[in-house]
Amino acid sequence: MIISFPDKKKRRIYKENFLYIIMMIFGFLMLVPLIWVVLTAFKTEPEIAKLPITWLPESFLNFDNFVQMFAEQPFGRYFFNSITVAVISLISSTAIAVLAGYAFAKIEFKFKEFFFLLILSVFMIPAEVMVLPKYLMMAQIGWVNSYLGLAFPDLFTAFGVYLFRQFMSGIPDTYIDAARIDGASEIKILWHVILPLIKPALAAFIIIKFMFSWNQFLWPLVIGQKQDMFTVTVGLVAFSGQWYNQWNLIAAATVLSIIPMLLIFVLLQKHLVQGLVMSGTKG
Amino acid sequence: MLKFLWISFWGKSVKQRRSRMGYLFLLPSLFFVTLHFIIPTIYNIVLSFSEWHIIRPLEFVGFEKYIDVLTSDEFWEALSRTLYFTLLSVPITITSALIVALALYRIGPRKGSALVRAMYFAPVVASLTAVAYIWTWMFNPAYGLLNEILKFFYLAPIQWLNDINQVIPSLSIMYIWSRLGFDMLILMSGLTAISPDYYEAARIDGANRWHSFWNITLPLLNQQLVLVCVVEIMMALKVFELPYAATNGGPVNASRTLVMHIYETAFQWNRMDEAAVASLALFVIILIVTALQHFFLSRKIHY
Amino acid sequence: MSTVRLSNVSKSFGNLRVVSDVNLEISDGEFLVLLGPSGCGKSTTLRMIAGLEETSSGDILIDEKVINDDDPKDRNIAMVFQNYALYPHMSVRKNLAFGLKMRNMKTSTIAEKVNEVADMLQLSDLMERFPAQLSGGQRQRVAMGRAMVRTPKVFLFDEPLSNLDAVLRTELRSELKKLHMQLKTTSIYVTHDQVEAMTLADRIVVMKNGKIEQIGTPKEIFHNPKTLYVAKFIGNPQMNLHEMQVKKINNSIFLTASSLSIPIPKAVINRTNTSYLKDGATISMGIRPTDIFINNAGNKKGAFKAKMILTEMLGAETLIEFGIEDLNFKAIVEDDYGISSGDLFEVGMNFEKIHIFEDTT
Ligand SMILES: Nc1ncnc2c1ncn2[C@@H]1O[C@H](COP(=O)(O)OP(=O)(O)OP(=O)(O)O)[C@@H](O)[C@H]1O
Ligand SMILES: [Mg+2]
Repeated sequence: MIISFPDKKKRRIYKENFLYIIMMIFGFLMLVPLIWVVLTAFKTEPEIAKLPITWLPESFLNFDNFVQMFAEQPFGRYFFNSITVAVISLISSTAIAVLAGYAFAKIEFKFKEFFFLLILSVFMIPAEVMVLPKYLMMAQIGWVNSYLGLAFPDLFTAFGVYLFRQFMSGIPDTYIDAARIDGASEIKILWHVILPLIKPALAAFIIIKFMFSWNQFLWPLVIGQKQDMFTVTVGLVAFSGQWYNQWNLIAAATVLSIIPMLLIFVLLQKHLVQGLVMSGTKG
Repeated sequence: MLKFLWISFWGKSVKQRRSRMGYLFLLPSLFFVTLHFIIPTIYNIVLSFSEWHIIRPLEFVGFEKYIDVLTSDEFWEALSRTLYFTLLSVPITITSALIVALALYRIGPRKGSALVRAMYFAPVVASLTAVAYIWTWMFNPAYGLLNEILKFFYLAPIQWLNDINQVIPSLSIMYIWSRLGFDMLILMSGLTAISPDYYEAARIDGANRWHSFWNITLPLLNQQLVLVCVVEIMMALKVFELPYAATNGGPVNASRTLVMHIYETAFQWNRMDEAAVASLALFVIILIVTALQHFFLSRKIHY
Repeated sequence: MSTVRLSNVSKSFGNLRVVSDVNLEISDGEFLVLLGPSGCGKSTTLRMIAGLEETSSGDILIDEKVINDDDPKDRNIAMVFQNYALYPHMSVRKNLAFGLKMRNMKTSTIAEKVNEVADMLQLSDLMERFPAQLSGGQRQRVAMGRAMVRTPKVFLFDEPLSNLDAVLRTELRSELKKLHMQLKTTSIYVTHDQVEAMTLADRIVVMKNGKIEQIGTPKEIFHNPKTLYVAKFIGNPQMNLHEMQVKKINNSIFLTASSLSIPIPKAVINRTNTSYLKDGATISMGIRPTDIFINNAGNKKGAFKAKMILTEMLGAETLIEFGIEDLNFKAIVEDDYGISSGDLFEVGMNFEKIHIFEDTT
């Protein structure tokens, strides 16, 4: 039995409110670099070289930097490339991981633990370690400068297998029993019964995977050697190298490179949190 | 005949058929594990024992490349820089992520709390290349925001990325900023999953907040903490975008990390064989670190 | 319309034998109840018939065709689960239609069938709701509907009423009975509730540790339990059971314990295995509480002196507990004649209704 005294409770509420304000201040500080780069993207060249520093751009309608950016380099193509690669790898890795996750969570077969450990250990090895041999493999089959080559390391993600297995283990077996009796094959069970029930995990996976694929750099740098196969990240670096010290232009390109991810995050962030929380509960 | 083959493949009984289905569902994953991991690893090992030429086939040279790499200063310098960067970044990232997660958890769901959480998470959305540019501009000695702030407090300006001794800590700042939100989210998911009953019980037993933290929160958060540690150490050890975009390894190689070393060896100097040795070194380091973490951290799980 | 047969069916999980050598025949249109305590293998048996679980050995036949290796979907059975297992992300309508959709039926036919079943079960107003928005009873009816809509050969029920409160359970029990009388589909029903079993079953199968203990109509099971286990399990309050010795005097047989001696009528001897009735053997004597009465008619023959221990008013009847010598008995009587605890009185027994079991308690 806990007896809480009114003023003790009040003190706690004060404390929590105080903490909330502190966290808001620090949260705002976290945003300052982002805000700063957005502001810079709207400034003109003389403005950024002004001392002392001015915070706000003279006009928020100054889109010259963005216009120039697209004029100088095919950023439209970069975006198209990044999106294509992200979509290919998203579809492939989700499909593969859902299948494996279901097998691990709901089907009995021999050596299950062994296979799971195998996949889990791949999860622990970063892709960067394997860039070199993978590049040589791609070169041998002629996938350098191709979308499949760009997407190759992302076609499968061990993390997805792990996430979906965690989630699906939490789904009661009776749903699957019922579906089996209702005449559904394993694939149909997966499609009609399991997938709708793991939507939070799917959303979490899509965000994380998309983010990973969109933000990749080393692999596309190595594999997309021609300019028309640059992804946004590679294009951003190429552009910045070309316009060294033109920070208004670089800022514009940087801001634009973040926007797609930001949109996805804003759209799905509720699911991301929910998905992570649920996989945590079940772990 | 066809039917017989079909049956013998699928097995006769329901159970056999179902377990075949399991293997079938696993097949694509295993295919890619082979393609992404097993073949490249073997290839890398073969490469490390060979002399690589662009057109001619590989030529076995034994440990020659290992000797070349392990006796070169560049490799060891890149490695020690990377370790320095990791040791600097990871503990701070995780500690501050834990503090933020605990604070946000303590505040609990209320009006605007999702927004505050999003503030901390927002930097995660940016690619590390974008992060590099955002901060290079922040760090700019003449026009950067940070020196402006220092000036406001009558402090001497700092050279940040342009100084041999400050470049790695400056990169760490970028890294911590960009990773904090992700770790916080993972840790928060763990906190949310802890049943309040434990705290109630501890309070009845007379534990204070500090006791609860050490005896309940940390042990029950172990899974998430291990995950965050593993991921962060891995991410830091393979850091590449930040120095590549922000400093190109400079000034005077002071920020040339191991992956950058591998990249340049392989793709700029065309010495694939030596790069393969360095890759293996990174691989082994990651293996050791992961194994150590498992050894130290997972012991606490079974209390 | 179909028959189901289990022939020497066994099931083990690893080394744990859960069902052993079950032989069972269910005739067309029959309502068969598997009854037994928790963990005796009822669900496992049912799941083997459904194809959700494999048999370790033995055959399962539907319409005399071995279906051991058929997938559940090819067996044309339907099952109602204890927790209903309604798909939480589908509306009632979609839940009902799912089985038909999986069988690639035409959309118009599906709609027709779904509506028909919905009418029958009074679900029409709930069609667009999701399972989480339904009460327990409604969920149960949707689960029933999902099974019925496919017009399967066999219905399987795994304790479908056990998650409901007592009133609803009784109500749905009679609804279920009416439905069965209307549809006449072969049904196998698992429960550990003997009242459910008694009211619903054409025949009851009493199970114990994975083995069949007795098969019979509710009447047979109640009036003629084959084993001590069945006698104990069926009937509430439980049958009075006491260890007694068999005594043969001339051609009559008596059961004795201390100075109590009960004569056994011919009818009982005829339906009892003679090997139990060897002179001097120890057996269990059982008599149901309803077959004991307070003897105040002055008929001294076959009356025992008893001492009242407790009376409990049940409503129309009274449950009394009393001792004869040092044996305690319970009886259900219509009138306790004001006898209170400690009082001495006389009881009579309907000796014809005595049961004799070989094994002792
Ligand atoms: N998948 C399984 N693996 C191992 N043992 C199992 C499995 N399923 C059931 N059992 C065991 O088999 C025995 C019988 O289980 P079953 O579910 O058939 O009992 P039941 O008669 O339906 O009981 P209840 O009335 O509690 O539902 C139990 O001891 C149970 O622990
Ligand atoms: Mg059961």
